Amino acid sequence: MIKADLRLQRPRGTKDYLPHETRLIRAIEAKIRATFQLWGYAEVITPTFEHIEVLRQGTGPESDEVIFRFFDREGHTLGLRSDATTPIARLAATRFAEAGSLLRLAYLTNIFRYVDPGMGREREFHQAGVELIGSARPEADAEVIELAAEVFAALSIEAYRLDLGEVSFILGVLADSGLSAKEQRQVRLALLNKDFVKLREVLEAALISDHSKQQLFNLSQLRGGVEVIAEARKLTDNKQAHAALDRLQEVCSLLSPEVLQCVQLDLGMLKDLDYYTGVIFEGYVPELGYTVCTGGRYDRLIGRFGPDQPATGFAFGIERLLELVRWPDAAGAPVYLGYAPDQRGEAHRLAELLRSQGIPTIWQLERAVQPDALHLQVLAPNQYQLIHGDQVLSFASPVEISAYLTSRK
Amino acid sequence: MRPVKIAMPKGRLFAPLVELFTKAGFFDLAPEVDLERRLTLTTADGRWKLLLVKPADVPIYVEYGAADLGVAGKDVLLEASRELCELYDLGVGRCRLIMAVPEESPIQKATDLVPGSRVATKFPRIAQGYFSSHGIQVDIVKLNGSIELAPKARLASAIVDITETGRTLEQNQLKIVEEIMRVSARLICNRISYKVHYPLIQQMVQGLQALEVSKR
Repeated sequence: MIKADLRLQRPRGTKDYLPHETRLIRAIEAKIRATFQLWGYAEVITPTFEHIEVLRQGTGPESDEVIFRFFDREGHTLGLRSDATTPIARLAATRFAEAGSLLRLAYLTNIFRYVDPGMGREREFHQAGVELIGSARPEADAEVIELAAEVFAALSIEAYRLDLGEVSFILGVLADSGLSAKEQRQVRLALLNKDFVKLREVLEAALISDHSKQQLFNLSQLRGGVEVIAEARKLTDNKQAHAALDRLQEVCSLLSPEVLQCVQLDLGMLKDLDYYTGVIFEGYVPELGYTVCTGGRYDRLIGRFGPDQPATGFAFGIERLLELVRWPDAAGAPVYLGYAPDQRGEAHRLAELLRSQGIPTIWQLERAVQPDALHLQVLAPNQYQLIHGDQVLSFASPVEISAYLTSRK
Repeated sequence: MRPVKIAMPKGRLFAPLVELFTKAGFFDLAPEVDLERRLTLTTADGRWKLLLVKPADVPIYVEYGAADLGVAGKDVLLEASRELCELYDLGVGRCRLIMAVPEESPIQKATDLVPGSRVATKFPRIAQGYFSSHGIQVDIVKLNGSIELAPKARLASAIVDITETGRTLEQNQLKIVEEIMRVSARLICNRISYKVHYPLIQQMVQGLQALEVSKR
């Protein structure tokens, strides 16, 4: 067996970002950050690692194997941040405990998950998102959904769509379906995995009437425009399900027509993190095979750290956006600056002037010339030469140079 | 409009699938001389583009969205373990995933395997999952074909493999001791294509259901 030289390898599921990718990531982040600020969301930074007990509140005990963990010297188990919302829930519960206060928080951070790397899945990835804490009103749900839509717009992604669901709809229907607890769990898992063959199998084997089976299946398949809410009302008389439909309808009625036009309802939608309680949503673009944004209401997560507080929010996957955003390179062409041996002081003044005009100015350290680049030489005070390929231009003052370079931009 | 892309498994399942999809009214294929050599095929009406790929590659095409839909055996799906939607049990390609041992072997069931025994299979993930869930410690040996040879060549004391009739096993003096699961071909779908092509997908599933009912 050939032994891999680990000095040359990255750990599985991690990535190096080279300058052109990093520039694009930072540009995406800047646009998202500016949008969050305009909506009044203040950015916070939580620790890269937390006590495992904190992170487990978010993953649930059944999925905590996704947490990268290690020990500190006192023997505590620590874990790398496996989602952004859970640490912020801890922060909100412990640092902003006064009831009745409304918090609008934002984050741009890396996340670590011990998963099998694959399509759209890495072990370290980046998210940008918000949390709106302290309001159970449908206006709060509508606000974060509209903010998610605004992020798509800020990134000039026009073909986006949003799928809306309500977790308590299907859970309510299931609760009085007559299915056993085990069967209910199987149905939830099948819906989460969108495994409709398994769903049919579980229902087929269950000891409930054929009518109930068919009804349950049909309810989980309701998908379309706002009209599916009325359809769903006819198919069930479960109270919790009707309350869920009321909330969904109200949130839809609050959305602007432009956003609503991009919305589809999916009443069978469930989420893999177990803390969601109400209206949930997913943002995607038809050309990409996976979702780029996910979010929803989680009214019982903060209560795991302190007094209960209603909350909702979302996260965008930065790497996933990277696949969608194609902007031209915005950075201006740099100038390489060299000087005659006794002209260093003059060259310094020139560099300062060009940089103050926003022209990237790089010291020419070696003789080698970059093909296609602009090379500026300080020959003597008020004697400058600009070389661009075969072209040689002479200038008599720094102001002249800066005017010429600015006009080229 | 852009045609809907469907990844179809080359090989023994291809002909029965085309027949099924034609009967269900999805598409009609002109009889092709050399289907096996083609990579893609667009239907006459331009609505469908078929990608002809190796069966084990279908889930990969679908997960990445290179194909909107696809057809894959449940065995292949479980082994691939990918994020996609499983829409419908097509009922074709029915077979069983079994554990078999040489006829003269004293082993009567999986738990008779001596800890550390070697088991040869094309499906290491499913086999490992099966033995682990029954608390049986074995060494899984992944092979790419002719699994029946492994016990004869003393490479393994048992095999986990797919069988339709059991005849090949019999010919190789092997006996079935465990049925791990029944498998059949499934209609699968990319998770975003499921959202984007939802009306078409509902129509397909209903068409398949109607066909199944008419057969009963």
